[in-house]
Amino acid sequence: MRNSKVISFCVLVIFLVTGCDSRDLRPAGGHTDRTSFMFPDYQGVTVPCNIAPLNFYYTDPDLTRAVTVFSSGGESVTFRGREVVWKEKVWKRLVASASGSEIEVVSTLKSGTVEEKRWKIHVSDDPIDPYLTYRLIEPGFEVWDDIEIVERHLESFESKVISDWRHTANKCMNCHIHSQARGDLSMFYLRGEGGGAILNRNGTLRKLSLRDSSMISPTVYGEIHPAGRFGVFSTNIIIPGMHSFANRRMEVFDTASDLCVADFDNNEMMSFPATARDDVFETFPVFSADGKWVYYCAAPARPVPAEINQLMYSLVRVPFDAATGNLGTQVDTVWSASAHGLSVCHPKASPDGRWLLFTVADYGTFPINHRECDLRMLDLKTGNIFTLDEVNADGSDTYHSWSSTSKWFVFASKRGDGMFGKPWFSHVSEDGSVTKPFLLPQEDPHFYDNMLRSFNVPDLGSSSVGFDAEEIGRVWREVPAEVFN
Amino acid sequence: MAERDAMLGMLFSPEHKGSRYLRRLAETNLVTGDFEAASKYLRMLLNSPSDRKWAEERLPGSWSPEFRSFVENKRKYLPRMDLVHGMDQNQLILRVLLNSNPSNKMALDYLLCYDLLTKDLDAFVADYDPSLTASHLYEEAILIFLASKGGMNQENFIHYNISPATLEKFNRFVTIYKRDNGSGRNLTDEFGKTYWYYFYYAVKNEK
Repeated sequence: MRNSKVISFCVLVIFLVTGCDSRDLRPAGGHTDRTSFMFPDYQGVTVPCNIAPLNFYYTDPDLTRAVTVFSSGGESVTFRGREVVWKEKVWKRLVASASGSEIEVVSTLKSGTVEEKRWKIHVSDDPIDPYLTYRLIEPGFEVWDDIEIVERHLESFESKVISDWRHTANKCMNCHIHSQARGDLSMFYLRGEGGGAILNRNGTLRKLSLRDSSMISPTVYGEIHPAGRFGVFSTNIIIPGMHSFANRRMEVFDTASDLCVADFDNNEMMSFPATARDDVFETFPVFSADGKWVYYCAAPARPVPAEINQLMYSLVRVPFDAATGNLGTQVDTVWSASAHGLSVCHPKASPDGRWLLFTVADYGTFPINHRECDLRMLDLKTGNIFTLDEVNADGSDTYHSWSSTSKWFVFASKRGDGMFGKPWFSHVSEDGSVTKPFLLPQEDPHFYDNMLRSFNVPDLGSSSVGFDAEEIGRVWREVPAEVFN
Repeated sequence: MAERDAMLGMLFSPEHKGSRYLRRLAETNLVTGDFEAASKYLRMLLNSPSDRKWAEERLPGSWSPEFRSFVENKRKYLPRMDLVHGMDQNQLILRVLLNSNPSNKMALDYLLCYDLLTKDLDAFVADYDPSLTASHLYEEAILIFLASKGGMNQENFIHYNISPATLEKFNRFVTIYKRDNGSGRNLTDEFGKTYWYYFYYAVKNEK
């Protein structure tokens, strides 16, 4: 009888210490996807004052005791156990008291010996846009199944599906992008039969067939002009390929690409000789913050895939006339690929007009499987380039977008497991300094352990897009695609 | 390619997961030395009672001499050169494997069979080395090639290891083929499983 009481007591102690989690956390440490003592690693990160709770767990599989104390402004919160999972109200109170300063954290961890780790969370008083859209997709290679586009509320753990396979007969859909983080001005593509570009403008959803007979393909990459009337797009003949060498995985390249402009008011497509050249690949067009320029990537055409590793895109720009939708004829090189020996992808202008964030890779136009691919930031006022060492990691860092305030950006990174993209956020100061990024917090700290889909093209929104998957299903089924000429 | 195929298998499985695919993904990444990717899959498998033992044996640091030998053997077959190929460039993919490891018999046989399936006998003869692999199908294909090029001589029969029995069977096939004006109506029973029959009568299904 006495023995059974002792056993019960021991079980109770183990239960209290471990939180009843019998999950096996091996492997952890060097050369794994869990190199830090905690996951997600929130040590030294800067978070916005309105972010959802930073739930995490300690990764040491042999941990027998964990006590975590968070302190700020005279307030203190203590957690016991491997998992640190906040009550939302408690987190909000602590973050509010730390806004503009920091939260000090002491982790006391026993695994054989007792170790004390002191670390901080910096809390910026710059709030982040409260919505983030992303596509969830297996990092499969050339096919898809069960795609969803999700809108996550960043101040909580709530999310809603804004388009999915269930309502569209498992159609392929491409990522959702806002114009300057506006929830009432955004678009994405539904591909295949019954599809089109879904334009969300001022609460109205339209389905558009953005193609005319002169274009080499339907529109692919692009952006909506801040005034909402025009969109600039690339048309690309996209070919998927595979690297034969281990772990290089997939390479996607264009055998032709041009730019075009869509007039959403008059259902008209326009193309221009300077940006539709046979001897130049033009892609990834975006507008400057004031809408007077189009930035894009351009490379001399080469035979691909034979010369794929010599295919390097420069960052260039061309004037845009917001009254007519015309692109100018004078193409300026902003960042020369040949001078830097690198290839540019995905330029994105901050809404305040100060910064241009872009990706550089060794070559090509599809950086998500390029481990070397990193973010760079151009100061459009001074011309200085920031290498963003605090942000970049050994893993593809790309598919970025800005908050409406230009104080935060989000990007997808495959750091860690190297396979699955996840959204990371970083703060930008007036002087261009950026902070150590933090991973999108999840209610379940083990969420990413079991996630087998990538977060594709995370895009910030200052308000909700206002539609959901059911409404997109209705548009897909019932609304005919508007023809553009 | 092994990783790609495992990922595609998982993609089309009912729940988009399954230990069979996770095991293949873990093992593929262990072979290629991508322990960061492998660790994600191993952790998922460790938390499944039916896969736990399998995963434990593959945790870095826990490898048995047998498993280490298995991995090292697989690594011998990895491509050592990088090039970008299309998803359907099967010959190129197999040639890359052979270029890295000429003793990769499986890659060689797949390549030769690909040549035979596509009836590309010039490619087949260029790829075929009778000292590395053998099959009655290869003998049969060589005989079609030699007959069409005027090379039916003893020297070639010896070089390509053509057995007297195969040669005699080929002569019988040709006799009936000519007698029936290529109709093939008396060839199916005896020659239905030969490459000769495939070469002359198989029609590609375009559907």
